[in-house]
Amino acid sequence: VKTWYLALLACALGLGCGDAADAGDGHSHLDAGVDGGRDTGVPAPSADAGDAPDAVADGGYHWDLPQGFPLPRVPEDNPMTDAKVELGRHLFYDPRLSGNETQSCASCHRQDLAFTDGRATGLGSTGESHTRGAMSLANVAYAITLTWANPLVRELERQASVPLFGDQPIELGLTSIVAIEARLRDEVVYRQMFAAAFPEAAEPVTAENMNKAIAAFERTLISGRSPFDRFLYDGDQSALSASAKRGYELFNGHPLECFHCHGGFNFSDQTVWADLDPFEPEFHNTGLYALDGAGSFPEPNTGVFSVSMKAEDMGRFKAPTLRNIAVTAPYMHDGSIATLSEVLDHYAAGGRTIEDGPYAGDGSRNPRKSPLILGFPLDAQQRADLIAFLESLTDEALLTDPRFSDPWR
Amino acid sequence: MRTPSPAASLLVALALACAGCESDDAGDGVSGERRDAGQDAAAASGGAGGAGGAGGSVADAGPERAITIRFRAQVGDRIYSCGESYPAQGTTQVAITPRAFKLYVHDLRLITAAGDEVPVAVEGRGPWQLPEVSLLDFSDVGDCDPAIAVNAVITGRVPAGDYRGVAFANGVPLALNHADPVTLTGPLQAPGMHWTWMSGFRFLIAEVAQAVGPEGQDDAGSPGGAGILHLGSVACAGSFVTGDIQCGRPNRNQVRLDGFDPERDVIVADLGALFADTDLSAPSVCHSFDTLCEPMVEALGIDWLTGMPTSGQRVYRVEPRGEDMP
Repeated sequence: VKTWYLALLACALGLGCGDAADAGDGHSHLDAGVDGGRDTGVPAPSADAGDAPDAVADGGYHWDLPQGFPLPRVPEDNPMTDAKVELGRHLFYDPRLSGNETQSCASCHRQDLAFTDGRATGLGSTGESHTRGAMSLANVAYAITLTWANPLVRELERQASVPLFGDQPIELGLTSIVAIEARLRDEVVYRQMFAAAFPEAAEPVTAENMNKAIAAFERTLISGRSPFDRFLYDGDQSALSASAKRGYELFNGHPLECFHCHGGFNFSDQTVWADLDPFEPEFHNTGLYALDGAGSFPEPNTGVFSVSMKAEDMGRFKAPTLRNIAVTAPYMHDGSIATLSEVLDHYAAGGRTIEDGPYAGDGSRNPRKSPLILGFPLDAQQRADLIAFLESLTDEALLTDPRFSDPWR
Repeated sequence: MRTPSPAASLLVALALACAGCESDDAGDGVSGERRDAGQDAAAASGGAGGAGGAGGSVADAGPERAITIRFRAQVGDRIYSCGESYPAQGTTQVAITPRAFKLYVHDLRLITAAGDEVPVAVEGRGPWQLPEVSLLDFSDVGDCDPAIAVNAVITGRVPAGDYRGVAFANGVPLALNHADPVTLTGPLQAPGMHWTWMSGFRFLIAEVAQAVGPEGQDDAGSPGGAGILHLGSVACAGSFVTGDIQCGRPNRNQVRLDGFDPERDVIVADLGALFADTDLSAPSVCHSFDTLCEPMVEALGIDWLTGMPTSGQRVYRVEPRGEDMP
């Protein structure tokens, strides 16, 4: 992946772009697009797209992966099976997984919104607001870390306990593992489904297995059937408008260079897959705030700093995938930007300036800002082109796929 | 698929820089109580001296006997009672009303007349004890919520002998602190003690509300309260996948109290002393990150900047049991 970055940078700097850019890894398809673009003005589909499209995981699970997508990483102690995925789907949509039985995972992760909730910040089952927005679950199987700014949370099996049992803030509001296990055992459907999903277990209906099944279902939420994918991987030149193709060029070109943080097939620098040794995730301060001379972000959303307590981590957040970004407004960790156009304003300015109020400050001068956030000129046509490209990442199949829908309806 | 680029591999190597940040805890060898192993296993291992710890001297010191280590929550010299008002607390000497007081204890030892530390083989006991860690909950002594049980003792076994002191640590041992909470049992399933987003336990929860107003009416229902301490390991880094977690500030203390006779004495946990150097006239909410934590953390015998134990704890002391105690 890094090779691909460097190759692109070299392109951008006019150092020449040879086939060497392709040789680095199997998922550097986008560089082929840029290569092509230099000659034709239109990115061409990659010749090597199509690696392992129908990989079969341990347990016989058929991933049915989109063209160009690598095999997702799966923990050894939680292999994928159809029975487990189907159980996880039932659990994901079951309001009995909240203390007061009013919310399920899907309350904040709606399929029609690419598994986000449309809110600036989440709203829990007891009415308590989260301080950050619900992240999209699209392609979460490929994510290194799973939340906006917590380097510790890297397995979906563990992460599930945060919304289920967390009390700071209260989300789903479960308080007792014993109680939720009893509640699940009361449902005859679950007794059968847990037994099918965990055939080795003497007592399959456990909270641990609940989390495993939810994680297995979440890993199936693969998004790779957007117009952009049809263009890049299927070679369908008509899938993208001329405007979106120009936007794609801007995205990958100088001086915007969005790809540094939103690169690769998943448009996020925090991407990992089955046979890639995970590297340490990077988080970025993009100059969204600057409350004081030290570049502080407003409490409690201080980014990775809130976990690491290291000053250099102030304001550092994960670069989320841009897939389906057009349907996951509002934007940023706290939902403080309403539209994609305003997000572009933020990056074009090299950081957001807030004129007044408690958060007043010039984010472009945040001393802890990433050196990649330099700002760039953007005219009206370029803005429209970029937005057209971002909209081409919306995967209607993900939003409507019956395999991902509420099984209780 | 082709193999990842060498550049990605280099990043892996660069990522492995942090090691040995946390060395305070001898509990690394503890296997942990898995829920699948069952609570029976936890109970069975208690009586056989299976609690780990310093070890060695137990076998030499004669036959074992059952022992109960008693704790008592107080606010200064008054017995703690949830919902009661206690005047003149904190640096600004305001009246407070306790709302919660509960904490984990591990590495419990008795000290012989010769000064040797003898580990207490703690038994698995219902929701309160595993061999590795016990939960004390004083929260609902009083009228806050009489429906909820309280626990102020730790039971176990020690060699017969003459004991003159006691030592223990607050917190959950490292080997259990970052385990997947749904796999744990006993006191590690207590509601409200797991800090899910921090991926570890709250070692100690102390919450008081300030009683204010000219008529002295209690505004304990106001959000935030006047003094809240949620102590836990912070500044943590690492991976659950490999089990390699280090915390820049472990925040586990080491308490040693001399002149403790387990038959006659109790260990007093003084909520007033915990907040003695904190201004309770304004909301003082400490989640183990904020600088206003410093006086609370220091009172527990923990260095604020490093999270390592000091000899300066002021919360615990020894007092006679008194005739009314069982």
